[in-house]
Amino acid sequence: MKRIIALCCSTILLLGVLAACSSNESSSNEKKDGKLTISWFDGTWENPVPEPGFENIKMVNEKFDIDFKPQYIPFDLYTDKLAVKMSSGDLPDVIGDETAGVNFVKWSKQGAFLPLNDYIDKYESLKAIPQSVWDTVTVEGDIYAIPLFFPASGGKKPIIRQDWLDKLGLEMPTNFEELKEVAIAFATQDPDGNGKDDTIGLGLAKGLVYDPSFGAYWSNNTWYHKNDEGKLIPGQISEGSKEKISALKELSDAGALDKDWAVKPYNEVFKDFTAGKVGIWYEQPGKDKGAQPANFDYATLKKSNPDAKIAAMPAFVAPDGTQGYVAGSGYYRVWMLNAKLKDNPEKVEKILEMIDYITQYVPADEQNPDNEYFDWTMGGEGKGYTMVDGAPELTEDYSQYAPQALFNQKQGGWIEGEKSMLDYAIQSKAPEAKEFNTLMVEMLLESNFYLSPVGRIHSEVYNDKIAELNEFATNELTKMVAGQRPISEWDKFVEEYMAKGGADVVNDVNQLLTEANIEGEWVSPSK
Amino acid sequence: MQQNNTKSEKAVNLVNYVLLIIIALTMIFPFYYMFVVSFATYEEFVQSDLLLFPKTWVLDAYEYILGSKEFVRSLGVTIYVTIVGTFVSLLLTSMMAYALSRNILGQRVYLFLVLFTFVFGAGMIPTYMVVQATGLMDSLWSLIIPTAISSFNLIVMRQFFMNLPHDLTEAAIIDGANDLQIFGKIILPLSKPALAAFGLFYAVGIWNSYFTALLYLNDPAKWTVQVILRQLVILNQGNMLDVGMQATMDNPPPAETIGMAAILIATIPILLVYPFLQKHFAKGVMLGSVKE
Repeated sequence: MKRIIALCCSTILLLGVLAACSSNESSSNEKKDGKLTISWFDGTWENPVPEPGFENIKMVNEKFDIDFKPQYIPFDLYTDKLAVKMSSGDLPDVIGDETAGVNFVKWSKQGAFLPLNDYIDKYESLKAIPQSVWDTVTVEGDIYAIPLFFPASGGKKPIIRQDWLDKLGLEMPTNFEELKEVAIAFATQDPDGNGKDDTIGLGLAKGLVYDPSFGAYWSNNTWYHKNDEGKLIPGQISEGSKEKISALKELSDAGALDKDWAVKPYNEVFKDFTAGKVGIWYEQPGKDKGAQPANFDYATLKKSNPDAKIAAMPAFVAPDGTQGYVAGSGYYRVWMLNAKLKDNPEKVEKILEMIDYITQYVPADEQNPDNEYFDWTMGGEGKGYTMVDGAPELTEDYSQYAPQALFNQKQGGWIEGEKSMLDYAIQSKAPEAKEFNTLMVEMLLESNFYLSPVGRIHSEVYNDKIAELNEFATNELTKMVAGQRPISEWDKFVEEYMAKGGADVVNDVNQLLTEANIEGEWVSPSK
Repeated sequence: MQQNNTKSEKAVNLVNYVLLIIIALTMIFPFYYMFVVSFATYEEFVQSDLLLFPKTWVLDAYEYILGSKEFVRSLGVTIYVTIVGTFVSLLLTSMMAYALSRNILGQRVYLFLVLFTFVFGAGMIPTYMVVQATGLMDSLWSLIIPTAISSFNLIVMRQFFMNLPHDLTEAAIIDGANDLQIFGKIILPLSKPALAAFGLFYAVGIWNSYFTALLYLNDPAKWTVQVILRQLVILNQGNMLDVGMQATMDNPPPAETIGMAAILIATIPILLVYPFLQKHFAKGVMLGSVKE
């Protein structure tokens, strides 16, 4: 009996010790010294990752008269931590993310975020956000996030070795027939003149990454084509996709593709392109793009191939007469507010005031210390940036000094639209990056873009099934290009796709589109 | 070993050696490759399909890594956490294992509780909430305390203690030693091989801890080397599912040569521990302690 009592006592003591530790939870909604405390959880690409003691956090505190408590995680690790934080109910005032994705919709429906419909009209910088972007952050009529500007016409686009075209006396391809001709010539006629059969016509990577579509008509994930019933269908199972896959199959048979492409990660193809072994590959405009090791590096290419010249490929003309690429989502990064702030409009307004302030656009020619706003966001000349040849250059300590580093990578502001892409060439450091950005942006500003309607609605069926369907389609299409499955089985492939849940997705998406009265549309964002 | 090997035995030996050498090479080659690439220039790395011996050896990657305040600091954090954590883990595990190896009150209940956690894990989110509720959040102790006792190690160590001859403890009791003295002066010194083995398990586990560091530590100044390493390396892998993310991101990922150098620097310290502990594994456990 004594033993049992002793056992009970020791167990209770042990539990008591554990319980004693649990009573010091702090509530972050309290005011400190009369100042609002704003907690902010977000991902970042900055290196070093901003820390509590950094200068820029003090600057934000002073500017907005708050007690700013941000916390940053590198974006590649962010999703994991965010999911745990959300599930455990440990929510800060502001939650950032890269896109308004599946989780965003789920959490919005669960009531984790604050509807912002009543607030956004008050802020100048938010007025310029296009309706198509507002649609992506709207769930059941309520706006749950503030999106940040990203050029819709940016993103990876095909680039080609102009010097190879010139050397072989070929023209820039404008359709898949000409593409086949060019790519096969690139692979077989020794365009680099080293006497070896070591060139690849068209760069292709595992999982058909970057989608060799050369236009919205042939694109994989874009909903452009309609089926016999007049319903929009996903790109993979469309006529355009069939034409594209057939062309790739012919290229594969003719030896114009890397024979290992189906297992080659895309970064390996970047490496090959930079080494001058690939004729057609992809890159996007952006600050310092075209001069980044591990992506496309023009300078390294020119070192081993002094004559190398890159050209941006305009979209092919489609059989239905359209010509243009798929528009990107038009935003990058979103900020959501904690639903608990419902009873604290003072804090909501303060947060939106910060967002409004920090997301203003400064044209490239005004990005200098004379512009007070720019100088502040960049942390001051000599600290966050220095002026080199009339253009600001970030210092290594940028993320310690510049308040901008705490909020967004400057892509421009909502007001200026796509022409802010012209700034890339001015902002880029290396001459090769300037050259690359100039030729890319020139092509993009001329191009039309197709705005896929699917991103503007939130279909649960789509969210549930699309990842699996995409994987299935990618696998089957890969098999077709590699010759493991005949293209004559195309109709059977489409049937399989529909049977695996594709039909449900198509029905649900079309129904939601009809309800919301949204259609796919062509836009010229830059004109 | 017998000297009078027949021909067939020699042949078998030869085949064995060749096989073992091939297997060993498959283990060593990745390290060699990392070593070579980390010293190569980026241009040469890009140009060659498989770099086996760079023409020019440069220290650029190492200069970059060791010049990075964050990396060096995180390495320091990891070393600190590993040393303290291994000590704490070994102390707690051996004490509990020893206690449970004796016939004490409630032994079966405690053993059941230990076995229960061995079979059923609590899962990430409940554990996160416990760490949060106990105030360990954002403290380096959150990497040490929640995983201080591995139930598997505890059970194996308990088995080890149970196999120690009882005559030894009885002799100590007759000499007037109390429980702590027996544990500290008789049991622990006899258990060096076990302590070395489990110490190594714990050390490697803590050294490699990355997800817990990411979850529980908010201040980047406290991040361990694995978190920083992943930042340096993952962007180069090209196997990420979310290509869209890579497509929209603006910062250049560091060159592969830098990634390789970072992996080497982050791996070598823990590799160096092995040779020093190996002698303990080889030694006989109970050599000459009791005459039966």
